[in-house]
Amino acid sequence: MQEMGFQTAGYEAEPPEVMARNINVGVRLLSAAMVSFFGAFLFAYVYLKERDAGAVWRPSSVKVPTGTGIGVLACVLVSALLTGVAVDALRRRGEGAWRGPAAISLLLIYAALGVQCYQWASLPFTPGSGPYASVFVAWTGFYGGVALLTSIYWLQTMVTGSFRTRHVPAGPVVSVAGAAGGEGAISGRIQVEARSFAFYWYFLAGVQVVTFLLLYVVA
Amino acid sequence: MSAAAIPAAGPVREPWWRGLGRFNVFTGIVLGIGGYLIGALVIGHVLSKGIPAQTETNQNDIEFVCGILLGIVGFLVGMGFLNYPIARLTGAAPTLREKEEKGIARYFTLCTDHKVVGIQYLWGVLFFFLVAGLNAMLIRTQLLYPTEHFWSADNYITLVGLHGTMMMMMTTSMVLGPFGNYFVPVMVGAKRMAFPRIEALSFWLLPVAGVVLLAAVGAKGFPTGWTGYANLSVQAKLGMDCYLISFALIGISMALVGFNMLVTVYTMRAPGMTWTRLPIFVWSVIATAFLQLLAAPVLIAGMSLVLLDRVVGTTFFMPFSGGSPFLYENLFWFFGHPEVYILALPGFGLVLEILPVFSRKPLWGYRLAVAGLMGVALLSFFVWQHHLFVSGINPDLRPFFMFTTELISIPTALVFLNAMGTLFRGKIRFSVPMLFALALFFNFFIGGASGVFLSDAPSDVSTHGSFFVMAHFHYTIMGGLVFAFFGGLFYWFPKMFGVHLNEKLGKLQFWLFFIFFNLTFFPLFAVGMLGQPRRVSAYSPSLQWLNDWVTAAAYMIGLSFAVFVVNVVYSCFFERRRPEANPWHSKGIEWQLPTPIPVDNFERVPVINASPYEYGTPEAPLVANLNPSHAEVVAAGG
Amino acid sequence: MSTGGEGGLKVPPELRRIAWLWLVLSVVATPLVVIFVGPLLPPGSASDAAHGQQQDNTVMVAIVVPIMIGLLLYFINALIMFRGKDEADALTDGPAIRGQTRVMVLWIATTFVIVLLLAAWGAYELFPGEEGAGGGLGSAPISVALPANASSALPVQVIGQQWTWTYRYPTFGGVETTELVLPVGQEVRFSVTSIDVIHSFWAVHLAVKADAVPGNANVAFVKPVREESSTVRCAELCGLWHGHMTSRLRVVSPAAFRAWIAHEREKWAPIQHYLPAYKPTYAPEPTYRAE
Repeated sequence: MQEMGFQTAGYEAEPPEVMARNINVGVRLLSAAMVSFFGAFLFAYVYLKERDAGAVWRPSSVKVPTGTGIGVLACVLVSALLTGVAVDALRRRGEGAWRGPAAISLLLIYAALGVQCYQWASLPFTPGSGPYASVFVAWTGFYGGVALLTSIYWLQTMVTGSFRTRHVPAGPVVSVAGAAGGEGAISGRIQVEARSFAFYWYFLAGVQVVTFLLLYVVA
Repeated sequence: MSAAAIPAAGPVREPWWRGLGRFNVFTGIVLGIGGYLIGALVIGHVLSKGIPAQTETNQNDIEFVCGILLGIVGFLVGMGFLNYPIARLTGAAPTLREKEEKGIARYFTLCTDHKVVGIQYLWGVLFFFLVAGLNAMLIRTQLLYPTEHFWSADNYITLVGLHGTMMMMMTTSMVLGPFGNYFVPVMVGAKRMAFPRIEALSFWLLPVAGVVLLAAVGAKGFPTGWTGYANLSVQAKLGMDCYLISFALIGISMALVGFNMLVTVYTMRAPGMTWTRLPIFVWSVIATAFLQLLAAPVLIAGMSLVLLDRVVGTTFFMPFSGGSPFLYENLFWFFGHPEVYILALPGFGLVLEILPVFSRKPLWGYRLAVAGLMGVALLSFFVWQHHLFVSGINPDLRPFFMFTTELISIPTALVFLNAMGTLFRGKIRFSVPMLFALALFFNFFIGGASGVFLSDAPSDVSTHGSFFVMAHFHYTIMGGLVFAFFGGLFYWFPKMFGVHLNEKLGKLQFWLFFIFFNLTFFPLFAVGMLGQPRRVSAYSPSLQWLNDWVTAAAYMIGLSFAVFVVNVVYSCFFERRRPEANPWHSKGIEWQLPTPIPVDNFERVPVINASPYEYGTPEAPLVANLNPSHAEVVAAGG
Repeated sequence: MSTGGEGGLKVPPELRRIAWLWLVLSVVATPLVVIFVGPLLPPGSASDAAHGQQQDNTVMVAIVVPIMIGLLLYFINALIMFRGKDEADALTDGPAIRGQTRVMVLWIATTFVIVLLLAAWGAYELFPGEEGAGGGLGSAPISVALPANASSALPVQVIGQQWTWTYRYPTFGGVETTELVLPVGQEVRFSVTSIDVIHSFWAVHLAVKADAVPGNANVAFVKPVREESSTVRCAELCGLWHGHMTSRLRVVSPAAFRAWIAHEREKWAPIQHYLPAYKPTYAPEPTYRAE
């Protein structure tokens, strides 16, 4: 979101750490908004389950698709772990070491989305089979559609950018007036964004753990 | 980099129609319509095959919703919102033409200049206000008679829904949209908002939501009013989908605005802009932004769940299939009550910003005002069940919610105290902005006092769901926010457009508005207490004379807005009075800048030396040092 | 009001006059309002709940009146006294007064006390001693929320549907009527439910309101104390003919009530067996959508 301030003669450039702070603060606020968003699903889950814990909540014909659920959870957790490894490598050995684990992490998010899609396609019940089925469809649907897709977009941009500029010597961390920084500006972004992304993705992995516990374990 | 190409704004002028082909409203509309057709006729058609509930009734929600969603995507693509993500996804350097546009054209494109977005918001909001206001006139016309005379019950109920929904959607951005986007970056000494593209997106979702909502008229309307209670909304006709999608879009827009404002104020403040030097308006924006960020996602989720019930066939709100209408009421009001403070708080901030300027006194009790705004914001998350006192949900919690609701009057009363202290021994000027600001306190007191009756659980039994409630929230929202909005508009119009609005016409508008606003809504308290429920197209004939009185007065409110339109046209195109650099002799930082404010606001990062309320302290420095030396920047912690 | 407050605060000379004026006006106006306006306030006194709410409203009006007088006096006084005398005077600065802690503390304390009073009074009114509050109490009200003679109350079921009300009297064979008739002086236990969307049962003159939610029985108590005819309305938007969802309500003498209910039972006897058995809620066959 940065290269906005294009160069106008006589106007001072922005301090480079501004973007880093914007993204860093922004990602925390984004997570807070996500808490509210998934909180609504959590509320629906608790409210409907408490009101009717008997046969209507989850009739015996509604089987919990645990296998695919574990698949999604495993992909997300390993991916989050690799994101941590990547950030650590970035700090110690620079962007080159970040690229590999980050790319695998990205593939795992794709895999999570793939497993999720397979689960929807082979769902052993319909959305209308009671409150549990409703909450299941809505919750996994929005987790896949909002959480996984935004993470994929963000990580994909970083990975792609990093691979494309891997032969370019790293420029200044951020060049504000993008023109001056050239390609180096893009490679510099990784330094700024990787840690913010890791925060976001840890948070979403946490959401996935809660999802798993409620939708598959407690059901 | 395209940045290099900018100075070459050479003598070669393209024919105007060439511009239509690039990303702007025109391409947006074309792709939007295309998206709708593909979504409805192809994707939706395929998806709904074999689902008798959709295909064998006379309304196919899947086709309709797919069409609208893809239409929205098409519009955003046509506006150019995907250019940057795609450029980043492919690893290419993003193109940078968002600020290049000059002239009128940039108001119809994705523009990342926060001042352009502010003005886009202003006209968008005024347009919404006009349409929804006309709806109000049509509603009042119906209520001239105790039974249906002018509209069928069908049209009437849709008018009520449109009026309520449009007003509620529009007022969430009525102050934060125009004035927040335009002035918050300036007031904190920043050159831009933190996330300019998100800022542009938050605006462009507004007209999209407006169009989608108005499309409900062509899709058999919706019968639920602005609250959209399930399960009435689940059984309603196609127009309901329009309501759900557009309200969710506004929720996204709200969350984005809140997000952007918070980051901007937190990270982009100029050196020396400490938290205690922040203008009180910015503080009110912070409080509002918190509410928007945390409450709007619940709205988005709630709307999505209803949409799922209608389209996918889930049973969240279907009482006989394990769902519960109470779930919707809780979700909706958990958003809905913070929402009404999203409307009220920026109004408070605006009037507290205006009062010191026109009383020539520092804002009395600045910290208390901040505490008041934050207190309201915090408490507003704990009061939502006061909308449900007679619903049968958790009746045992009524004392708790009654108490938290009444607690809100403490921080609200602090705002009154700030105003009273600021006026004390001041040198009051009755310019138009000041008149509007003062009127807020009169109106809001009546709104607040009637709120006490509503918050009281026993008394609420009779007033709930009646015209009493309706009068109450018009007193707080219209009497509070709309008055503050006009005050702010008259105050900042010279800065935003370089034109001074005519004072005489402004005063005429004010007095018409103020007097007839009270003559309209005060009798409605009585109407409600005497037994007229909200949103009815038929009422007891014994209440006809009161209703006729209200309708007549409401027409006069309409007249006052006509005066405003005349004022804008007259001042901008006929009188064209160029304002002085600082027409109100304000100490605010925005008045130190040239008019119009340059694209990047400040040539150099300014250093803030004082609070903007240093009236009566002759030795106080100017608020901002616009051309600081390096040493000064370092000294200020920059 | 704290601006005119006494205790330990020195009242500034500009405010001395209005402080006295406020005191005098409040002392005179408040009792006048309570005595003369109070009995006129809605919802009247046709039932115990209405009477209780009227009392409640009177108390709140009595609290609001002095506050309103104080604020109006302060603002009018300030706007006249502190206005800029002319164009030039209006551009000179006032004194840089930034705040006085004692005024703030007094103000917050005052508002807090008022809030506590209001909340305590409201909560007290929720407990039905002599007079019930008339609001919906949910499906299983706790015992403290019940009026003293709840066990001997006449049960009446209220069923909302688009767009009409019907009533069932379970102690009279579950007969269903389209008109609500109640005996005067008898505690009544409404059980309000709906068979389609959310409605709200509002017996305006009795000051009873309870949401009719499908799948839920919402209980409300009231004791009519005057023989009177009035209207029941729906107070929650329920679709197209929401404004026409009314029915007649008659409060009659116990003898007239007995005669009426006997007549109704006789009148509807031939179709009584088509009705579903009396239940707190009814679950109709789920239909996807009413057209």
